[in-house]
Amino acid sequence: MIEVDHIDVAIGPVGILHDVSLRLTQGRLVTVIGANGAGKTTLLRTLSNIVTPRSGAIRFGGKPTAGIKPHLLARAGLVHVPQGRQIVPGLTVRDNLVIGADRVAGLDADTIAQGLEREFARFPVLKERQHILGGNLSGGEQQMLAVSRALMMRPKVLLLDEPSLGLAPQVVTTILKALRSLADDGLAVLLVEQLALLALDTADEAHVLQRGRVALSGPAHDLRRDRAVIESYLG
Amino acid sequence: MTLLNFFQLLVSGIAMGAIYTLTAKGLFITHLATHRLNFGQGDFLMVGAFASIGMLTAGVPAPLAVLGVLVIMGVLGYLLERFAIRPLDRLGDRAGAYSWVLTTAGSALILQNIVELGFGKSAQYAPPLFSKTRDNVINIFGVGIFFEEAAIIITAFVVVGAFYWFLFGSRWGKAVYAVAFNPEAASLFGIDVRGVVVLVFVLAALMAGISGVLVGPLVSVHPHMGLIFTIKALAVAAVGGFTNPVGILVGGLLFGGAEAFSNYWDSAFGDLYPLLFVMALLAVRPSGLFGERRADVR
Amino acid sequence: MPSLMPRIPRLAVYGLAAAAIAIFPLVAPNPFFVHVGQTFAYTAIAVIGLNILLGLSGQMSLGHGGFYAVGAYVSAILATTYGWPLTVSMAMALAACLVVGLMVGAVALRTRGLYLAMATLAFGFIVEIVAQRWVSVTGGTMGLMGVPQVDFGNFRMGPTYFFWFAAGLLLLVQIASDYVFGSSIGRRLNAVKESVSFAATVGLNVPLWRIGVFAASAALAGLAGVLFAHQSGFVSSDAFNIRLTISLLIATVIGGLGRSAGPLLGTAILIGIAEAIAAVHDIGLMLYGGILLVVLLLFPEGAIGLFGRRRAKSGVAADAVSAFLPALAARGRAAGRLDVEGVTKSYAGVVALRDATLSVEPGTVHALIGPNGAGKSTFINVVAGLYAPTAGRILIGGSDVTQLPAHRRARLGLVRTFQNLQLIQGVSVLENVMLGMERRRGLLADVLDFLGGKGHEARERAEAASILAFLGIGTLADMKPKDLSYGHRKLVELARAIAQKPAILLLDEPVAGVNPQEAREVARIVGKLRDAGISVLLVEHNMEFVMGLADRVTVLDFGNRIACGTPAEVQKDPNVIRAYLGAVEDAA
Repeated sequence: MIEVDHIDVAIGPVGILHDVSLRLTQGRLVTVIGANGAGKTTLLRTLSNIVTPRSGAIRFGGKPTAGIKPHLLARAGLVHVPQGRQIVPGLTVRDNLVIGADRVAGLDADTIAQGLEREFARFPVLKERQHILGGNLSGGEQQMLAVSRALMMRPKVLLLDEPSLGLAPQVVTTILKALRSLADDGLAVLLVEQLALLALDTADEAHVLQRGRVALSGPAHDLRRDRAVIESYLG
Repeated sequence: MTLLNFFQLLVSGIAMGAIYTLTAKGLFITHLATHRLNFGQGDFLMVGAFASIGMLTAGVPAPLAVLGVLVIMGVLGYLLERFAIRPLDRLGDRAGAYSWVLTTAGSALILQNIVELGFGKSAQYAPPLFSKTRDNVINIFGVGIFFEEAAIIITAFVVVGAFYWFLFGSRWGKAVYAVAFNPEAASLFGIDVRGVVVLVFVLAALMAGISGVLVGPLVSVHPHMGLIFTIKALAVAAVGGFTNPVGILVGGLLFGGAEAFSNYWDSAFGDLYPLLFVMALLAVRPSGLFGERRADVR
Repeated sequence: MPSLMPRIPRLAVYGLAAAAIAIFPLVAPNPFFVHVGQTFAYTAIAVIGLNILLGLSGQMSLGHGGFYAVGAYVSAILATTYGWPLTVSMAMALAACLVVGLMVGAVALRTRGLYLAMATLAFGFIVEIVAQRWVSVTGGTMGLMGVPQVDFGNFRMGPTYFFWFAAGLLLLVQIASDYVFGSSIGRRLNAVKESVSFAATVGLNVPLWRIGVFAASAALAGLAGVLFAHQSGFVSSDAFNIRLTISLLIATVIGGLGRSAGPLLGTAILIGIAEAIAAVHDIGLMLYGGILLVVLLLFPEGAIGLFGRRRAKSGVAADAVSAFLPALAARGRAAGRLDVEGVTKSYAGVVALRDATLSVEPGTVHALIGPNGAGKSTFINVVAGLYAPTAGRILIGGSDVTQLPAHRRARLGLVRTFQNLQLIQGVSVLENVMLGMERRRGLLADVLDFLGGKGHEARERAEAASILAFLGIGTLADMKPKDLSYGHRKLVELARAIAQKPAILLLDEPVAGVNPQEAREVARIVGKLRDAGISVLLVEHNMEFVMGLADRVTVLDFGNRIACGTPAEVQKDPNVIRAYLGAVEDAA
């Protein structure tokens, strides 16, 4: 679904990503791990065209994404759940859920209603709290809401930026399990995580990013066992 | 002051207050979505007033004239965003933090000059919108009030109501809240952020235009009247706390009422007292009378 | 201008300028030139004030015409209606502008930029209306006649004397402006503009700086107004409408915001435009508006930008840098004790930090660890004074500082770095480090140094350079922070903190995003600081860094302290393993 070929990204004069390539196909959960400042978030921001790469190419569903505005990419099914959840605090949980799906072509009121039921089944707490303002949810509830909001848009590819940030371990487990089953159902999931070991346990495939370069790639299972490698890269 | 006097002043005050509220709504919504606003909002109002005078005196029927004003104002709002706001984003750091104050104020000067060339510098009155003559008085509970004022108050409240529906009820209103919260994140939920920004500036221009149409029959209209309306609308928005849409309504009505009475009390400097009061209020309560409505997010 | 020709001693440039001022009216072909020269001189004074306000401190004023009017009227009325001597009336007018500036600026203290723009706009409008309608005092649009002129009793030579007087004042104001831009004052205003929390961290009282610069700028506009009133002998309210403010702003932005020489260029261009517009009066406003738009959007650096960007020069030769040895400041070892007692912080009912207690012993490294969202950043911000705790006490060197704002704590030796770097982009790396330093010499001595040229701030520069060298980044001194890599910016922030001569150093994730080799270097530096007697409290995720460096470790989770002890003890603590290291162990 996503092909990244040799991208270089700089913000101002500072190079952030160097010669990064990766592939993401349907039904796979790929994780990108690395230390703070390694360029993980920038990678996701580049994939959703918030940041333009200096060189290299990105294709989504076989077509180059260069020049497509972020909101159009999102409507086309490349949905990015940003760091810090970004729940609109002044809107209710329900409004937050619908706000993206409302803008996707081909999603009519019925489909959206079905989507709501599906997400309420996935995270029952959202159903209980659907009329509460988004700003009044706990961190874990907000993260569930953020994932559900993205799924409401019927994505083909889901990008997640540190969904574990600031969450209790059980909540992290809930979220990661949900991601795993989404991938098993055929979604393409790219997970950027700081909690490397948990991410490796969940993912099919992993890339270790170190100072903007892919230092190591392989099946998550293999990397997971190679403890020495992990420690030297993730410090 | 007789009781009759009191009511008449109150009605005039509410009429002006409703217009200030409308104008301030435009400031509120652009500030909400972009943290910027049009320092020529009053001049947009002036353009709306002159456009309606021009069309009404040329014999265009009132409903068509209003429609015409709305079209003109929508285009102006778009042009303002396109040429005075958007280029600043492209400059990024090289633009000063408050360059938008100067670019919007500069656009206002251009508008003043254009109207001056078209209509001359002298003051004029718009023909009444809702009745045949300016001094058509109706009797409500024994109090005679000008029909024109009553109709203006009703119209203004209908527009304010529509504005609230837009903000709280429509999907575009929700998009405005999302952009206000975090534009980058909003684009990730599929919201066309640039479209929302254009929308709020167009909407602000429309609010100014409607205010201009309504204010025409009430006060004398001249090309340099805009500044004072900008200042008063800013004051009203500040009293309401800029981020609190209900506060702006209350602030506008309070301001209009206070102004009517202080003008009666001191005909020379009466219009300055409410402004001085607002400035003093801001020094004491920087977020206005009603504070900011904001859910705490971390 | 001096800033463009750094190699010529400033004093010589100013001397030349003074000579030019002295000669100009004598060689001017006709009195009109002298008149334009006078107008240039006082207008430039007002523009310099606006340039410092907008360009350096980042505050917007749409009411400077109001201050100009207050200056003009106070002096004109006192001198004309009451017959006071000019010296007294002028002094009173300046004082009045300062007072009014403080009052209007008070709005700036409490609110953000938008409100200041609004308040100043309203102020200018109110002044205009009062001038127009209070006819018995101001004469309204008919004006005040017969305002005494500055001619020192010689009617024929009056214009020449007035030119010398106004241009002399302009020269003094320009020198003051050059000094502000070239000294610690300008750097600090830049810091106040860019980051309030940074400014407070280097010990600046932000509200005081803001209102001070606003009032000073108002007084300069007032001085221009005073000179205007006594130039022509006639003052009418027509002169003080919003267009006056807009003209001053145009001159400021057209010259080039934030450059000391900008106002002179901008004023010259403005006067040229004004003369040209007189011919096409009908479209004057359109031209003004158009010029504002074009300059702001196409030439945001103004005319001065055409002469090239200002380049920072450290003026410190690499081989002349002395070795830096960290030392505990004169405050002494006891000042390095930090006690946090039962601190709780909640936002709108959500508890971010609950009953946190921690003591940092003098001369030790204390690490605070915990998962993301555990309350560590809140803890640092509460200790540094950026947030007020909901409950609890904070003591530095045994005295309670809970009520003190951040800048006062900084002056007590509590110095911090930021997780999301706070460096001032407008000045060089070296100057960022210098922001951490106190000015060593008195103001007068510093001004004299500045005028003399070479030795100005030499010791500060040398010391800042040696701190940078100590951190191994001496070569970056002349660069702007935004051109550095993340790791280097972290080191610059550390250098700035060291320059503040801390007794207690709060480091917020000092090695996040830094490569392992650089992290080891940071550990070595922090170790040296500890050896010098400085206490360190650090928040960090990198366990190798923390466990190798810290004397004691406190673990936070969900706002609660769950463990405290030596690194070895904490690593064995079952609570810690579950909450933090747990992710590793569970999965193994």
